[in-house]
Amino acid sequence: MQATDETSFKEFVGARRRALLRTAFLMTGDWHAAEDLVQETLTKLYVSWRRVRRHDDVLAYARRILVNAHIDGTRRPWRREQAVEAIPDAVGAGDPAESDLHTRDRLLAALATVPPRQRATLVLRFWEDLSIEQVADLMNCSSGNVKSQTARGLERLRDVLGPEAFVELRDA
Amino acid sequence: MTEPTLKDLFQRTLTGEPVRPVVAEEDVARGKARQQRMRRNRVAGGVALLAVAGVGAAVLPAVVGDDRGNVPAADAGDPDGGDYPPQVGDDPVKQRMWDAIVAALPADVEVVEFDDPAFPVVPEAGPSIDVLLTRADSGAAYSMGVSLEPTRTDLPEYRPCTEPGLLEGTMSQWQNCEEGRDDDGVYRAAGDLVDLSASVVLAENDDTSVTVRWSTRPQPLPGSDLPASGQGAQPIDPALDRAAGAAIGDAVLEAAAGLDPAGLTSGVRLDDVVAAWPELRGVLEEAVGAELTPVGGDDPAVDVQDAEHQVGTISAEYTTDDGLEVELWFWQRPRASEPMCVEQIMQCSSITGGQELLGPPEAGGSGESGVAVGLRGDTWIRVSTEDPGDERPGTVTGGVLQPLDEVLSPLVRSPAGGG
Repeated sequence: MQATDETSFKEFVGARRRALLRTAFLMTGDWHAAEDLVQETLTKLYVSWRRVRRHDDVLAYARRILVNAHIDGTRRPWRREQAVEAIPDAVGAGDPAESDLHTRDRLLAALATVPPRQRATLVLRFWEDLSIEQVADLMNCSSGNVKSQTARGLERLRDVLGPEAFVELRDA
Repeated sequence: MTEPTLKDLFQRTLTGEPVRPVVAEEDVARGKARQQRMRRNRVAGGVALLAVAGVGAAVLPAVVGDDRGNVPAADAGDPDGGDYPPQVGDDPVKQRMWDAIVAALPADVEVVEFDDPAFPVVPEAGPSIDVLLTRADSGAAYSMGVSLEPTRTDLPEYRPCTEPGLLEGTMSQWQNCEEGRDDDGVYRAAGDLVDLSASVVLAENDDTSVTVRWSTRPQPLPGSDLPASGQGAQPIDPALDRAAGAAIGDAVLEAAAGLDPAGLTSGVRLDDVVAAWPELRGVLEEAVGAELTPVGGDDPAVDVQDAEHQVGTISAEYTTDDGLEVELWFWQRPRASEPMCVEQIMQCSSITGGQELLGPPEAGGSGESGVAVGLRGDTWIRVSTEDPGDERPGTVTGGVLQPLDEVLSPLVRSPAGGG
């Protein structure tokens, strides 16, 4: 890789790595797994950087690598996330810090029950704020498929967290 | 109380995010390490696979949709090759291979013969035979290809099981894989390409190397009630199993004893491809309907990695005035029995004559495709545009392969050093 390419790669990493890590965490539920996923993503991106950087939307390309790597990883049994057997109780009214921690654990447990593709779709739609068309392009599927994955994912979360847990419309 | 949005909930789960400064150099180092590993694999010949053009395509165009029927079958009907099918003709090496193959087929398996003058069969250049097999009256055909080449004793054996290299985790990785040297000193490897519905066996002694690969997905024979491949077709009763494939490989290996290994080489001379490059570029310009402007100084760039065996890559990158980007690569690998990956484009030749993209597909509107050239060569083309609504990438890559093939295929020589 030429020096100018390497410089631009470093700039991309500096600007986007944290956001990719957060997205990866929301998909995996584990910071270590998220770090692994981001490392794998950026390694692949580095190898392809020369041709990838010609395109304006390098971030979209990186997201695509990340999502593909994540979903591919979940197909390998030794890396499959274990669904929890029981979801922690609803948030209590105790110490705020403890309450936040409890809320976090409960949300992560709920997310763990959502299948990987549905979960990735929810993260891309509602965390990354991508449109249905953008998600469809990124996940190489139809818009209708994104809609159905979204609806099923939301339904699954509501089943676990309760119907009033969040405000997204069912047909979001 | 206002209900939270899902984004609010996601934000809450990020509690405990590790506080760690971003060190881009670490990601650069990992990327470089990956590139270096790819280079080592290439130099050692440890990656790359068998890629044989169009298994069965030259045999049954009506079934598989091949449209090369306008190419004359030069050897068909030749008196010297009269006892042999067109894909063998009067080539003495192919005849020897054919006799061995037919004799080693299982008792209830036979070669499907077609006598349709509308689709004359063209023999492949080099010691390779592609046929369709059928078992009894199953109504199904399975493609099989057998290729012969000199053993590259200067390279390590191809180890698809223990050293899959860049193909690890891809559709082209060998599954249920076995490799090793038997008591007679014959090196053997065998595996299934589950996602590609194919199986492969490799057998090589100190002189010659034989690769047998066959499809496990049935193609309906004309008049059969079987569903077309990919529409419920099941590998219920493939024509060969691994033992039968190995028996064919052994028979061909035995038949090759006494042949001059040097006469078994095949491929193109890279200089010939360079000389044909203006014609290839013309094919691309006609396909895109615009003049191509080279990007960078070389048109084409030539990277000869092994002049003796004519291993290397030839490539060029172009743009058009309206923003279309076109990249054309040709590469020839050290031997037919293993793949070769081109790191710059993350592309490997593949066991079925297709290609394996190692990275994610190109973002935006783009199309990629490739075609095998002889037993060791491959082309790959990428057409892209930043306009997702521009349909030219898919159209061009889909339509340009045959004209490219028509330029490159005549360059294949067997033996490779011959005139």
